[in-house]
Amino acid sequence: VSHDEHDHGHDHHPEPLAPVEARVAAIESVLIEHGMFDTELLDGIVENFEHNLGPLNGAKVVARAWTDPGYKAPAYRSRAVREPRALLAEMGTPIPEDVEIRVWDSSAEVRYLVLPERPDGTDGLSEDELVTRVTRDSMIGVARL
Amino acid sequence: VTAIPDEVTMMDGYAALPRDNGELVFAALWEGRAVALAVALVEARGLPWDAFRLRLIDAIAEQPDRPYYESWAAALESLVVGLDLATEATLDAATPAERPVL
Repeated sequence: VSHDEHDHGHDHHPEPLAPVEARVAAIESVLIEHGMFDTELLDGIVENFEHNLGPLNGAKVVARAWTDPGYKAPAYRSRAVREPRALLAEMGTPIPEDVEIRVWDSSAEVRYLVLPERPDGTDGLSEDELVTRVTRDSMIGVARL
Repeated sequence: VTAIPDEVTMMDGYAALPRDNGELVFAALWEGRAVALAVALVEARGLPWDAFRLRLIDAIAEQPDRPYYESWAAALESLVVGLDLATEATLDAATPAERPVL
């Protein structure tokens, strides 16, 4: 079977689909048709896995570093030390002027653990509930909760 | 961002989610999607997580050599059919032949 016979006018050739992957897609479309939940809810659950439970997020950073020369350029790294406030703001994490920023650089001998500031309004939460608030970004010190 | 219940991430024995160095391992995007579908369905119907977990254990016992997430998909299908949300035939009809081009 040539590619042309499979061409339905897409700009790109469709990728082959494993039977199990196709079946899961079918289950998703049937459940969404039934109004069980919407795609956004599923996206949110998958995002939770990626951000808080799985290696995918770290893998994305590595892939970015491999493909984007600017991502690990000396100029970028030195900016992280010289003007972290401006860099964090550019990355979507504005830090108020009254919050002091310290830059800790891990080495082969020393690793730093960042203990994120406990968010306001969480006094009544149990330990289990608090766990769900903590994100990867907050633990490496590039996001506030 | 929807939280994943502990009873999902802390399953043990045969049903335990595959991990490497403590982190969950998904070889393909559909595997994470299949997990999200089971979590969302059980929650939407107000079912105990065991409604899915026991089917997962059955699916693994049925074909122990099958990859974990293929058993997961089989358990998910069995739950969906068991809840009368679909039949094998409606799922066949909804099964795409190709990955949609984004």
